[in-house]
Amino acid sequence: MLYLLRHLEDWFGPFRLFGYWSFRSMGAVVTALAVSLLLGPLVIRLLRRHGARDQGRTFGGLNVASKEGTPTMGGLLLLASLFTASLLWCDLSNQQVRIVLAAALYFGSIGAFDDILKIRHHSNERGLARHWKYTAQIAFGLLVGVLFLTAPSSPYDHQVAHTLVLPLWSKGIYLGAGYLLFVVVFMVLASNSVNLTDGLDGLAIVPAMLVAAVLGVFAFVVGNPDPEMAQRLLFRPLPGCDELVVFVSAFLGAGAGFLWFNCHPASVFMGDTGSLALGGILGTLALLVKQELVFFIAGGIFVVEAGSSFIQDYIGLKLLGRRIFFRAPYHHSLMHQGYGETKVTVRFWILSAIFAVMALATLKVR
Amino acid sequence: MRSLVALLLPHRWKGKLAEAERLLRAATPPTGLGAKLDAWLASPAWELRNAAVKLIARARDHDRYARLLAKLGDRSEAGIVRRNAAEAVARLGLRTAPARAALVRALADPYWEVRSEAAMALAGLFPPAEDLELALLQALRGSRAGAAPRIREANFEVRMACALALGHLGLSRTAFDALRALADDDSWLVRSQAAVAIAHFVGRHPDLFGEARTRLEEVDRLSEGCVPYFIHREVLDFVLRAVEEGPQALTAERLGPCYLSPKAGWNRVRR
Repeated sequence: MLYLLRHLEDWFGPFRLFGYWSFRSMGAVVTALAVSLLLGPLVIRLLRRHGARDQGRTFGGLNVASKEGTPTMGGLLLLASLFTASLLWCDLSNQQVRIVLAAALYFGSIGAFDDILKIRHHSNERGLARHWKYTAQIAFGLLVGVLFLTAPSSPYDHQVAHTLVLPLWSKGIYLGAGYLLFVVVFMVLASNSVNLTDGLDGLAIVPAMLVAAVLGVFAFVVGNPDPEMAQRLLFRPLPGCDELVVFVSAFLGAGAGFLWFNCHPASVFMGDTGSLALGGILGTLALLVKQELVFFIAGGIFVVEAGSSFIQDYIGLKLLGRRIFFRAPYHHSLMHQGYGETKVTVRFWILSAIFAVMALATLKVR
Repeated sequence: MRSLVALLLPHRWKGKLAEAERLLRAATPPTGLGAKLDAWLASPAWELRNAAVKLIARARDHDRYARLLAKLGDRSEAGIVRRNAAEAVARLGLRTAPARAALVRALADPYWEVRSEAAMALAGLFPPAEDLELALLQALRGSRAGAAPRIREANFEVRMACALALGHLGLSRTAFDALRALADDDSWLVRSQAAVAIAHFVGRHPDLFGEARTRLEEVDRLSEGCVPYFIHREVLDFVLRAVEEGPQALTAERLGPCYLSPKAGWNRVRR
């Protein structure tokens, strides 16, 4: 909303600053961080008072009982700070921003519903049934896909909207109507992979921030008002994407604010409210900047975590009747082998940073 | 192929699995399951065969112990079923010759969880014996039995289980040397287990006490894992346990150790 102040530039010169995405990005980071830090203790107290506590879980013998009772649904804090900063600093007439905010709200709601069911039943096994979760994710994928591919609502022209951009390649693949199916599968993969990674204090939020930062850089390049910047790097310019940089900044501020409370030993967990929302936001961002495959490079950690879970559950346990990994997702396997929680978390952060650099390299290596 | 068919047609066995899980959760051990167990043990779905194996142990169905041992030795069976068969043998306390032979064979199983479970079952069920020690040493050395006592077992869970078993069952100097080698392991979990096993072994062989003591003092203390605990929760649990016992339990002697010294620093408190 502060974006509108730029119209008062004639009345008060410094208001022109609100027209610059760089200024608004800085404002978004600071706002989201401040809201997180200020609201954090209050939200945690409210969650605790209303019984939003983590339920005991067993991961094949791993002892996580010491975390039982920690307030969960901290994703609400994340979303509150993200929305406050975005509503204040983003240009809300921008279609891309509206789509990504809708994704955050939608996936956050699915996660919140799941968390509420778990809390009500005092069991982590009795949340939203898996098929309902998938159905809701597929529904969003279909909705976004249709919005993307149909002329009046699509932010991009027909050719761009139906093309899958390949990393390390200057040309994309035209998928036609098949792109709709791709969007659905991609959204399900993106949201679930972040959800699976969220298992240790601070494990999901830092890689998510790094992926968002990478997508923010891509948004800056492809959405730059000077189309030459995108063309020089052999990208198709995507008008309007530059506003996503402000949203990504708000995301980074909200993430840092949440990490303040979520770092080990966590005072609050994000729960599915946060993890599904993070996955939904990152997936939608990747779709909007047309860097769906770059998401899998930057989010290498999410790929490893989701991949290990898939291999363990579907190939190992269901098909072969044996474990392939000691435990899954992979961070549980490392902990089972004797690595401490902070060691696993920090090493995953380092790997995430390496994956992020690799993803950024695809900007130039084409 | 059978598992693939079972995977593709879950409606054929999901209901039966739910029934088996209900029986496993029941407060009293189920009885009269004979024909049902036989059918479930022959099911193409490994989950159902697995539940049947657990039910044999839960119901203490003597007539089907032989089938349990057959499942343990059947290499075409799903790994988890074989693992649970080994665990069931231990739970039932089957100290019979066929069980002993089946567990010894299971030490060479290609699936690591079966090897690990078999080693622990042997340690829990049988007294020290030369053939058991040899079998454990062979499991640690892999296929190169008789070669230099080098540990070739790649899986740390199995090395841990073998260390535990050698602590219980070890008789000779060779077992002691294997434990010494395990005390040098890359995994702190194995080193830790080996240290306990060396002490356990030396309890039965006091002649090696001096050597064991020196070795234990040399064990690498570096650990990549630590389990933090919440002092506040420990204190609260302790106090609540004392309160449960009534006012007579709330004495200075009992509660004294709970007080944290403002000067010492909370993180110096030891559990």
